[in-house]
Amino acid sequence: MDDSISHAKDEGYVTTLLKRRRYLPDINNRNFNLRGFAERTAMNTPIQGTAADIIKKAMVDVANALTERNYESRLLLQVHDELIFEVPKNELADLEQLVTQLMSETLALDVELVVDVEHGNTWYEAK
Amino acid sequence: MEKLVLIDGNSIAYRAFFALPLLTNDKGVYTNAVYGFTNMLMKILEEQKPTHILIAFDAGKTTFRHKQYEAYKSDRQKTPPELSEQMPIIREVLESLSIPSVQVELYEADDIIGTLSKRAEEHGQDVRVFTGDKDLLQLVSERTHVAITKKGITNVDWYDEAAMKETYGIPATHIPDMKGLAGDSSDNIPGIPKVGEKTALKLLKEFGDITEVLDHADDVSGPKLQERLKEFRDQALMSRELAVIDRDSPVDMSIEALAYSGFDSSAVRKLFKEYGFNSLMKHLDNDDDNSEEASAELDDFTFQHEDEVTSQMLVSPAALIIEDPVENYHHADLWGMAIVNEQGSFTVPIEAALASDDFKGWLADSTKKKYLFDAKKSTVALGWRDIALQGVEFDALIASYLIDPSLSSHDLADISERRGQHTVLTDEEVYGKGAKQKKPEKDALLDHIARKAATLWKLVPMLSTELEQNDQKDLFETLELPLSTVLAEMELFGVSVDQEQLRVMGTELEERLTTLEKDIHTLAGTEFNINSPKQLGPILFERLELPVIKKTKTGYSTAADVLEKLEDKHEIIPKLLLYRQVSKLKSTYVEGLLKVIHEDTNKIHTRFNQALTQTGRLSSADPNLQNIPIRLEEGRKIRKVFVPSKKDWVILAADYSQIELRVLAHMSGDEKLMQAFHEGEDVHTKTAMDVFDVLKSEVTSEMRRNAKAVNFGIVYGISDYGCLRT
Repeated sequence: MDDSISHAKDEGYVTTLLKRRRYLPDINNRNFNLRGFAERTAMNTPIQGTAADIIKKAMVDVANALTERNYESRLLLQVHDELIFEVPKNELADLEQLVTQLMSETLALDVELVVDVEHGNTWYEAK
Repeated sequence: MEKLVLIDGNSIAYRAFFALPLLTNDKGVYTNAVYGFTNMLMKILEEQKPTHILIAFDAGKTTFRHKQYEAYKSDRQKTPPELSEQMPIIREVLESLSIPSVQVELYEADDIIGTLSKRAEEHGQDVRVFTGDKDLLQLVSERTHVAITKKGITNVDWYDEAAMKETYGIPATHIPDMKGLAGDSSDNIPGIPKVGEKTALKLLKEFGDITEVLDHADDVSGPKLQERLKEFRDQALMSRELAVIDRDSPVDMSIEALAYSGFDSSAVRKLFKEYGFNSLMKHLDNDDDNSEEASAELDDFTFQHEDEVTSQMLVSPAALIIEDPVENYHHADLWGMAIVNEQGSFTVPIEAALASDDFKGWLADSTKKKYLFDAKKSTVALGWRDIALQGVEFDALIASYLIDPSLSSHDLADISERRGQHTVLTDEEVYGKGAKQKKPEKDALLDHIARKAATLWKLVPMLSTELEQNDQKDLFETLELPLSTVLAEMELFGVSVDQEQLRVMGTELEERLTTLEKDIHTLAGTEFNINSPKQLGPILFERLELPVIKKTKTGYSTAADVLEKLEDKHEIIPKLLLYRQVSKLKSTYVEGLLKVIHEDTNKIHTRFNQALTQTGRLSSADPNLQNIPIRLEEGRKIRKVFVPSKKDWVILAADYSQIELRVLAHMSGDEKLMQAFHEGEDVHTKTAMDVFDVLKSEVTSEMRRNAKAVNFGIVYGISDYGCLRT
């Protein structure tokens, strides 16, 4: 994580796993508060941003798979780290398996990506 | 004080070449070394403000050193042709920047730099040397400082006398002695076998220079080292010779000839444009001459305002504007259409365009490449009219966002302005903003839409080069661009809501508010308007005599943070906080959601913003899905209204578990954290064991809570102080 700060100090920006970048103009500021904020941002942006990379890539992978395999199920919403679908009951078992697999294989990290799937009659029940 | 900047041309070009991906401009010419070199040069000019400057180049493969030692630099790999090709362009850049350069037959750039730095010092000038090669450190003196490029190239490590002492512990002039002993494999200087830099420095620190080290061979520790020092004595002295920079080489250039008085921006701008160095334009003065020149360029553009779509328009590639400036594009009229391609620039009235089967066929043809600005919006706008848009090859909005997400505006005009193009006004300037937005009269409207298409056409190659320079081509092409299609489909498809349930919730929340209102009035001992800070203030701070935390211009502050501080001071405060939360839920979500239900589909069609957040996360509007409160049970219940659009279908939710902590574990490579995940252990307990140095059984809930705060403190960027307070 300290690498992230020193990278920012050298290059002026930080990057995520998939090369998204964020510039931190205050990283070498003499003002303690501004610099401190930039330093914390240098640490958390690669994490938040990589999480964004992951969920975005999962959306593309899952949406493509649904089309390719002619499923009727549809991706409806993305909220934080969650994808919400509507699914006919005959596809439910398939979808649970497919979505879990694609989402957990989105990017190969040194730790496993774990996906919880739930279903219900409303979004509230699918929790 | 006069200051001479000396740059080791070959070395910097070489570094730039290997530090950057192999870029090409739109004519297929390799430009990565030129770009990196120029970028560094602009930075040096701005930061150093030299009064004198020179770039030194090597003359050729053969130098006077080869006469001394045939194998000198013989292990060097051949310069890659992709780099050699760029050297003439680098010279062209130097010429346009009016920076002198020189090379001297049989001598290396190092010798030129050594010679001129010596002359400059004699003139009383300060000298700054830029190189990727540590050989030049031998020049360091009180007046001469040397910058060595680090990984990447615009960053350098500075060496002055103090830094030399700290790093090497020997005087700069003894650097060749060090090479004499240790050798230098990159230059094929042999030195003494099995003596490395560390041993060499130790010996030099102990005995002085190389001759003294060799003379004291019997006094060094270790019989093997003693033997080698004696056996390879001549080779060591010859190696030192090779490493010594000739500071009196025949450089036919006076210091006066190196005086620098800046460059002519317009010549440089032309060159930068030619090679696609748009991101370097910011270094150039943006004087009025240039802006006139740029807008004049677009005035030369002739637009053909046609009544019908013609075949000339429907080629590939083409820049396409489907004008739809209304914020909520799910309900919007389209204002116009423009196409710019190699055949010309065209506008057609939108009604005529959308009635044309040829145009619709072209839009749907994925082999016809299209450049757009906010392709998702156009896809959705056309989608509502059952027209498919495919073959989107480029999206200038997303490109600009990826290049720099921190910019507050990615309007086409601002994107182009930043790249020295003044070819179009912003939508806001032409149409007005928000409620004041107005469609201008026909000619002005057509002109603006046509200009947008022309600007887009010009921007695509520039943005494309920048994405390549940032190594973001993949991110753009395989993630963000396909994602915008996925998002467009989601937005168009919408989500069904149970309106009956929504109304029931509205009633429930209303009743909840009534009860809370009664409680609050009872606790206050009087009836008043809870929503009015003007009435609430005197109740809290005069009638109930609670301590005043903050005052405003108009009276007492009753803001949320003030109330939170008073939470345990009076029973009324928690009730007030709850009242506000419930009231917000009712207005934002119950009433808010009812408002955005589309009358044709009875669904909610949110709009994802793919070009907004600094972190790269998506955001959404109408409704803002990311913001539905889930802490409060009442808030969580809002999710009950989101239902499948077909009977007997179900909602499936797939949620990444602890994704940020997992990413943290991956990126930090923290073994304990990773182990916790591998073993399926509770991560916060594991951190607590580590931080408090206790066994698992000894971790208290307080310790775990603190550990959790530490973990999330890093993830969310909370300050150390904030962490501890939680």
